[in-house]
Amino acid sequence: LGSDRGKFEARKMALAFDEFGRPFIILREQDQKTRLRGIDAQKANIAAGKAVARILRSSLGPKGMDKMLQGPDGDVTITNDGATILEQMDVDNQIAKLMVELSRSQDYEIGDGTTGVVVMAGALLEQAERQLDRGIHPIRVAEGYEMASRVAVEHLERISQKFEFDVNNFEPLVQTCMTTLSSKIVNRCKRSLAEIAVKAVLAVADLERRDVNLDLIKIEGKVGGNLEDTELIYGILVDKDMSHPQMPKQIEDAHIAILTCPFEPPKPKTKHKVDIDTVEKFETLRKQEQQYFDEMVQKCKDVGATLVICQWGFDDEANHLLMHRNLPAVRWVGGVELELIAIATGGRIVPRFQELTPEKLGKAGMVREKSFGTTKERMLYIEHCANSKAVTIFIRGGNKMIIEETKRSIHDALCVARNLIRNKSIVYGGGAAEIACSLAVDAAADKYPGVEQYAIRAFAEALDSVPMALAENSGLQPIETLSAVKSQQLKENIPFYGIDCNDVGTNDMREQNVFETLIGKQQQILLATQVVKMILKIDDVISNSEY
Amino acid sequence: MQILEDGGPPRAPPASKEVVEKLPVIVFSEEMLKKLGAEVECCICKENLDEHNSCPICRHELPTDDQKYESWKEREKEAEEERKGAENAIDKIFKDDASEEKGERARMASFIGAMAVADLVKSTLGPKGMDKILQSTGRGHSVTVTNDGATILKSLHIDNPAAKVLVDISKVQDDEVGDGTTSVVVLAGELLREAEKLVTSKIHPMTIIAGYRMAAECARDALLKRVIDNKENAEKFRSDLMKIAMTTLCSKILSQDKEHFAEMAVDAVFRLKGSTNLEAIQIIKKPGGSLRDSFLDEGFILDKKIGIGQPKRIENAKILVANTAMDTDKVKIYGARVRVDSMTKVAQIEGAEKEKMKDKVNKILAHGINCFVNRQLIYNFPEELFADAGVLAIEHADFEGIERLGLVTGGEIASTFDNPESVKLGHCKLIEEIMIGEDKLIHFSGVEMGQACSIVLRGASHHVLDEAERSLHDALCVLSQTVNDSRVLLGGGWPEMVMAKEVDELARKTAGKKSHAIEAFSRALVAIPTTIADNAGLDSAELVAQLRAEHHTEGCNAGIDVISGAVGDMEERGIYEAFKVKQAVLLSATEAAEMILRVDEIITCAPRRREDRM
Repeated sequence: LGSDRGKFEARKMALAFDEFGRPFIILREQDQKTRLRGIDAQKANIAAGKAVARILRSSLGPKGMDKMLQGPDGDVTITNDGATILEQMDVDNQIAKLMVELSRSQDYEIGDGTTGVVVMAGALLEQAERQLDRGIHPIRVAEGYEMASRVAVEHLERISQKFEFDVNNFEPLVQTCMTTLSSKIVNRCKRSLAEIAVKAVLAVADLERRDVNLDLIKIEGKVGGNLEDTELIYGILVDKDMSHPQMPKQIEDAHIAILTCPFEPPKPKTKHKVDIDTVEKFETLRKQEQQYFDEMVQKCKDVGATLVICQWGFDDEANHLLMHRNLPAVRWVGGVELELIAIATGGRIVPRFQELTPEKLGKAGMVREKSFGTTKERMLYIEHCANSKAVTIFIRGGNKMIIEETKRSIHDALCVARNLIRNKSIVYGGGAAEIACSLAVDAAADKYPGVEQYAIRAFAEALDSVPMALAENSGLQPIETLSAVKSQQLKENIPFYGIDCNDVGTNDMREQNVFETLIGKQQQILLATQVVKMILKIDDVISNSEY
Repeated sequence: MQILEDGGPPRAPPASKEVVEKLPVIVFSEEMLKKLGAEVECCICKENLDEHNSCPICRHELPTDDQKYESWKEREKEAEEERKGAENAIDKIFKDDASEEKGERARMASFIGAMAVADLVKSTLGPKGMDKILQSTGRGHSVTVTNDGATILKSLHIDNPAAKVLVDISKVQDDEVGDGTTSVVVLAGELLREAEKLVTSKIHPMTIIAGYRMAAECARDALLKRVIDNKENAEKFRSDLMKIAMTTLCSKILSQDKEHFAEMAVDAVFRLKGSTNLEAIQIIKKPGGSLRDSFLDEGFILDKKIGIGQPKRIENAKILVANTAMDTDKVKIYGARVRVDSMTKVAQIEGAEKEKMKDKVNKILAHGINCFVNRQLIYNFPEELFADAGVLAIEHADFEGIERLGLVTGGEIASTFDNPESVKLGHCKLIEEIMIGEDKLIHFSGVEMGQACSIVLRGASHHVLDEAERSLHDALCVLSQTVNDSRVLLGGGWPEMVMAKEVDELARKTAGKKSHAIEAFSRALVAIPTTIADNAGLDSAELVAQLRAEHHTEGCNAGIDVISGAVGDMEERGIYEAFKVKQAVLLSATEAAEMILRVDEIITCAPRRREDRM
């Protein structure tokens, strides 16, 4: 490693300007190294991109393996979610960072297929390298890719199928979510988790506008129990308990006052001083103080609140007054939770006591405190809310890493369900869509005159790499399997044949119920092409010695 | 050690004898060595070095005696250089110091790490398990003696990520059910050990996982078929609980007095009436006396002294439990400050302050109480006022103390005192000062609601008491969980044998490569009774074979009786375990093993730079 480090150090260089403002480059140990430019730069960049893709390649598909990541503070993450792996990988190379960005943007946009997009980009780079070796100019390769990606996306549109579901018949949605979950560690109970995810999405979905606000779905996790205990709560779960240990643990038909003001005397924003210089003033101040507390509690009582949820804390005195007046309260509830509670219970967040009115109270059928395990951990369930638009998925699992991974998996499943509600088109998974596209692109290649033809064919070949990786990870003979499936697709002209990863015995993805969303797939191809184009266009690498 | 035929990398051979010999031996201290006896050696490193040449924790390779391996290493190094040359265009993708381990190597690293941890705690399993001494690196180098798996693992500094997974499951087991913290790690370790064999015989980890899952499911069903549930019969249920408590305690330091402590634990848990809030059971540790002198107190004991000049004994006490400032009552209005221009005014304000405090005391006294317990400090002035009124005032009870006191006496925790008529007061028959050993404590007896109680532990030293507390805590946890889920199983390796038998059946019925994994699962299960027997110095092979034969007959209750060193009927011996514990052990061990198996690459980030505080 030492010699390697030496090389690395030596490669550092700096860009400086002389007195006329002309740039020049300072290289350390200049006689040994030159900066990378031209074809070398492209080759180096391609190699870096490929290296990243190679790491993720083995995580693809239902039989993909996980990566164990040890963070800078010694914390351990085990995952096969592409975006998470790349995020935590502590990458230093610029091109590798681009790949990280790529996976992240797929995560933001679609939420699923983060591994696939990187593998795809890696394959495109690999093919590009071959074209460069043949002497094709990188820009022509990039252009060829661009054309090919258009063909592929159009073809996807053509082979996609509408699929029908509604609130009562959400089975197809569950099937799609199961495809997503089957590649994760949670696939043991993918059925129940997929159902939970779909129900959660349907609960918050606005089917008229075809929109889903995923912010309304809160994912909470607590170690202990096992995955089967994971549940969907039509309401909110708050990781807090009642402010006073002797307050009731269960409230039916709760009228909730949601406050962002603390239970304490007012604090004007402007600077001020209250001077106490006589005994009388001292006395009045004392009286006033007591009155304040009394009034605040009285206000809440008056409007008919039976539960107070406060963003701030309150001191012992206020706490006891609340308890004494039989008004249960929860303190230190975070802003996000507060908003969710407000949405769920149909209440309004009240910033001042004076503005408290009965209409602004939230309503919930049941609020209860539940304790877990042997330690003193309690959580507050707010259920049967007036407006059921906010739900919580509560994950249990054997250890912290399982819970974190389950959270990520559920997030993926939620995204898939949301995408389907937005756009009902699906394509078939298991590499079927990629194979179909590869065939289409290959066929289209011949129609293009010019050098781009080669790049387009290379694109088709790169598309094959996804099913190839799937087969490889599933322990199948990659080349044999792929060519068999390909010929099957071509012969019967049916784009549903994919790789049989789970050893079910059929290649027909319709029978296996393996779907992916059309927009997800399209996005994968577009994003991968874009990044590869960007990488190909770089012909000079100057790195700053400072980082 | 055999080198694999050409192709795959050879298995790491044992480290060179010479080098191992020369390894520095770290001497802790004279006393510790005396305690430990003469044959002390680091159980992980040395043992491991006999088999492999690398440290299980840091993977540093020591030179070996094996010529072939050494030359393979050389070649490997060269090949590595070459590969680097070929890809010389790739800059390092990772930051300096970040590292990456791939494929087989990564898997081996995690297997070895996990197994090292499992082996570390293995010797503490079972009634004859041994304890470990833990010396902290912090200030004072405090020493803990324990055989509680979770405690041992919590205090280890581990760098191996897979080992961390095991530590984590042990911690969760502790939080969730309180017991079985060692078993869960040992089982996970055994599962991985079996998996390693399967991986070397070219079975894909995913196939192993699939097999393990089927096996775990089947094992759980086997247990479910054989559970005993005596919830209906209160008397039987109690005796079940007693037996569970005794089984749990018999592997701990309390094993000599297990009946005594089991009785205590069961009584305490019954007082909770189904709640799992163990906070309500207060454990007071007082060095001195012997473990046998420990007792459960029906009432409540507060580790505080009674103020001077106040009554030492109150009958029919009316108690106000409060959480209020009794020093100076500060003005809570923001920005208030005292500003005076003469000395007299200072005196006046001071007077007013005193008056205010006096008012407060009077208000408190208006509740008609004769005992006042406050969470916060009580200053001399109010204390004197209370003494004058003949009221017992106790200051600075901690928060748990206050909460428990509220629970036992049925009083509410008050912070304002304006409505004496509606504040619920606590009641108890007698408050008195008692002596335990040298210390004076306040004892509340004849309380109304018996939800909380105190257990006073006596013992020779702090270490004994700490370990006793941990043991008792384990027992209490298990019992409180069992009260809610009253299903119980027999102990002494019986559940493992039952599971192993069913799993074996399943393996025979299953077609495909999975059946190897299922078989391996059953072997891992049997490893637990084997370890228990081994730790007790018994002939484990003989006993386990006998046990297996016994279990061939339907409805057999045979398990290993460590005390007599033979196979016996567990029902007769009264060795019981809680179903919930066994289930949690089974499921989380499988989950952890699965998680580690799925890993094919380890990426370690550069450690965060910490500022040098030297």
